[in-house]
Amino acid sequence: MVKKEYRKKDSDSDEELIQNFQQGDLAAFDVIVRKYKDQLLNFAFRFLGNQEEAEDVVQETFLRLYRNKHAYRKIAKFSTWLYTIAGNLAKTELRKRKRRRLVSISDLGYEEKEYEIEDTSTDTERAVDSVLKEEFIQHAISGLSNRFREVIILRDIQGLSYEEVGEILKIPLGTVKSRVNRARLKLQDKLKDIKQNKTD
Amino acid sequence: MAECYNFSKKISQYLDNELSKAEKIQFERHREECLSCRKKFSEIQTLVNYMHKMPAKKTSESFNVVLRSRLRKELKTPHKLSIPVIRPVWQLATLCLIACISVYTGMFIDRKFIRTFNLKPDRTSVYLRPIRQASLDIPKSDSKHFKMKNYVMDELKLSDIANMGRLSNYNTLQTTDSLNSNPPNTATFQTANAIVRF
Repeated sequence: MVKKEYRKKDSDSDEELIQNFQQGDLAAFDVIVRKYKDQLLNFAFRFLGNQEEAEDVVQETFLRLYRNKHAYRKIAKFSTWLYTIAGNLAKTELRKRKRRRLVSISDLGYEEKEYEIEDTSTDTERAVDSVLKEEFIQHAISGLSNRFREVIILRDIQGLSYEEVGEILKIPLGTVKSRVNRARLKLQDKLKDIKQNKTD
Repeated sequence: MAECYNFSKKISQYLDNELSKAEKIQFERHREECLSCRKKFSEIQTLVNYMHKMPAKKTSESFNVVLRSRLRKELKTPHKLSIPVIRPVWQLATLCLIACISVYTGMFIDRKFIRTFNLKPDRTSVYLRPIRQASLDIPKSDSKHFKMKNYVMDELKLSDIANMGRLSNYNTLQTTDSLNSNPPNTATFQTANAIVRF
């Protein structure tokens, strides 16, 4: 019986779920957690580069949702509202980390790893492919400033639309588009630098 | 050159199918003509495609347990009072006021500090951190220039202070004299409670 109810709830729209939760239905909260925990974790992880910190951010996001459930208004899409909370918490975490002066490439464990780099004299496609490993990209993303980092994660890793990214970051559509382009160009430059440093 | 600049500005729009038909044709024409732009485009296209396929991270198995426990705690503890929404103008005014008070207080403390201890610029190594105004202050009627205060000292050389009073709870870094005399005659203290006379 309970399972049946959950199945029904999973198919509910986010707006219905949050509305039910606002009316005191705790099962709706469980469904929201189940639906968004991995998405938000991936987002926070790509932002912070650390699983533990990312989990903490996601937990805090759900706690904030629980605490401030009535703050949500139907004018915004629920998922973007949730992403905004998680994004703000992730940025706060980064600021805290900077204050503690704990952030360094070696802390993130990138320096210790050995990466296989193919001969750069081969054609572009192959050379780029060789660099395009998850760790490299994560490392390069970590080197971007917050404003470029957030757009690239939301757009290219989370696969959100330009409109959703604009809604989450509260910036106009035109700004989102130009920022995504600049972020991609910068990321590509960072990857080249990393590759160059490794080959030197 | 200008064409290359415009090209790089439009790479993402092309990849996301956001260009008009005419813009698309122009974009593709330049890509065919310019080797470096073709290379750049190819790299970014590969990068974007890879990012779309990057494996998604997942929450750990203990995630739900930890969340439940935190929620339980949340339910037990009373909610903090939420801060009332303040209009931006008032926020700015409040910040300005706080800044003015801080600057004024800082200047006052600084002046008083320098005046009280008669610190010279070359004595910056001497660092006193007052913890409280001691109740041992001698009334002004008894002595015009005689005050006693209680301080915590960091890295303070005893020789830097002419009239050292009583010392307690001290940890020394260096000692040139025996610590048998109380207080020691020459010592560098890591921390100490002291009554200093000026």
